[in-house]
Amino acid sequence: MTIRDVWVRRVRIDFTKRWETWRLIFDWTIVLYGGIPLALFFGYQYGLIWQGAYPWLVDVPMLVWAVVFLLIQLHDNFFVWVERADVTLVANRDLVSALKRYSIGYHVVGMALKYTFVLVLFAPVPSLHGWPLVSLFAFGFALLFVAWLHMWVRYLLNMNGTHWSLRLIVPVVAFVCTFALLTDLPLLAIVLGSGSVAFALAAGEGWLSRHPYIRREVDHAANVRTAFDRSLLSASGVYEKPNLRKRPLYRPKSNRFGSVRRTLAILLYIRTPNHRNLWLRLIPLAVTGLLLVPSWFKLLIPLYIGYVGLQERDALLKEMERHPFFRTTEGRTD
Amino acid sequence: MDVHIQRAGYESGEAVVEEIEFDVRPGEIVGMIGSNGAGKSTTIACLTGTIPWMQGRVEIGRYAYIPEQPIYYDYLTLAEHIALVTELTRTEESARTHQLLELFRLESVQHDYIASFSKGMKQKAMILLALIQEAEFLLVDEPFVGLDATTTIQLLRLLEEERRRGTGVLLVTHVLDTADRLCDRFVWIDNGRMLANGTKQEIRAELGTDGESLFDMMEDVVMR
Repeated sequence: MTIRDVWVRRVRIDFTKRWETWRLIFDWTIVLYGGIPLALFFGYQYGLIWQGAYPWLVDVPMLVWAVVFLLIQLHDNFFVWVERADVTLVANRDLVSALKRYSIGYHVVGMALKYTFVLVLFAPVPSLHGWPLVSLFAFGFALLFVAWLHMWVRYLLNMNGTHWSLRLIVPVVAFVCTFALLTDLPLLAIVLGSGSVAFALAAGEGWLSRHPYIRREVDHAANVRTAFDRSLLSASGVYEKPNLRKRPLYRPKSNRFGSVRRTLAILLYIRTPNHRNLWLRLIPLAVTGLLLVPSWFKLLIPLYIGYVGLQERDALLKEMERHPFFRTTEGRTD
Repeated sequence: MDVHIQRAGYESGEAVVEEIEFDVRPGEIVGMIGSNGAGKSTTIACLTGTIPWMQGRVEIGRYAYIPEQPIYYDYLTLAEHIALVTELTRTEESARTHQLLELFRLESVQHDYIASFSKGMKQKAMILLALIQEAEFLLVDEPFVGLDATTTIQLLRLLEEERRRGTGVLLVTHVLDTADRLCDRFVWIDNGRMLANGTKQEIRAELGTDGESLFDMMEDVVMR
């Protein structure tokens, strides 16, 4: 069992879990009725952009594109693939150093893929502005570099516990740098970029060999890796870790839809995949049907939808009778 | 092991422990005692280098750590844990590993995930993974929690054996009777500071108590 084996297994398991989370949200019918039509629609629109069907895109100021890129960059979160066991099982920190090296490789590949995708989406805009292909590639590389510096310096400052005012400078510099690249101000971009490189080198010195903030790095890694699951589950009120925060971020009022029983019924309905997914596939089907079915036959579609709705209502009422939540709220009127 | 902690805590500038100084020499067992929340685990975090903020100096040789709560990889079996630890510490899977597996009755489950073990078995796995490292120092945090009587006796014997082998052991525990019987010296931490340090006689003199056992001394100090 080598360090590489442990890392590969860790990443593989993490990817499997992420895939399972996505599969929980999207079953094949949703992909068939929602995902594929949307992909075809947006693909077609993207083709139209290249053919010049949206000439107003030229008038969008570069400042707006710089803001869009900043919003994308703010979603880049560096983390090291470390776990608590890595720092507990053995005193030797070779494991942590190796995991830090692997993590850099992981993020380089991840960011390269992400920004290639972003650049492909953005490519029609500079082409409308008359940029040659070489300029587009140069911009792509520079953007990737700026995004990496932004993510990396932000991570180091977070781990050091630096004051928020200093941390705020990092996205500002990244934003100005991107704006300078977009508006053809290479000198400004070079000055800011080289300054950032110097700062990143100074701040990251010894990061691979010394680990004074390893506990924060472990906590941060756990937070980033579970962020998606937590955002899904904490918003629903199902998942809460009181030991991690003093007050819950979100606690739904028990009677926010009028009464406790009604609130429970609605939440139970929309959180049950069978019920929720029925509507997620029925709505696009109904819209397509209304477009395709001729004349007064269209009337059949709302009738059918109404019929399904009534059946769903009956099914839910039966479920409610059996469900322990509703049994405990029997007779409550609040 | 030479420890000089001036101030340390989980946030910069917010000290949880202050002015803690002690040493552990090879071949002795030092007991770290104190009430809940006194700062014992924070002191251990200073020794393992996992405290985010510390002023002071810790000199420690090659050590192995047995945590209070079992910490392991969910996706590795016990045998894989052993293989990884031996790889990282550049030791060899020796007869001692098999002897410990047999002693803790973990032989038959070594190809199972630690996550599927009972609490006591997990704790035994942690002890085994620390002992196979043959480290110069052992940091043992509340080792008796969750262990049955047989395993507790086995662990006490193993710690004695480690002492004879020349290992310095820092034992953090609430179980005063066991500490009393096993340890050569004590570090008494209270409210984030070191209350006393030394042998039982030295502590007795330092705190001005006439208690015979550690329990009596603690009772005496607490009641003041």
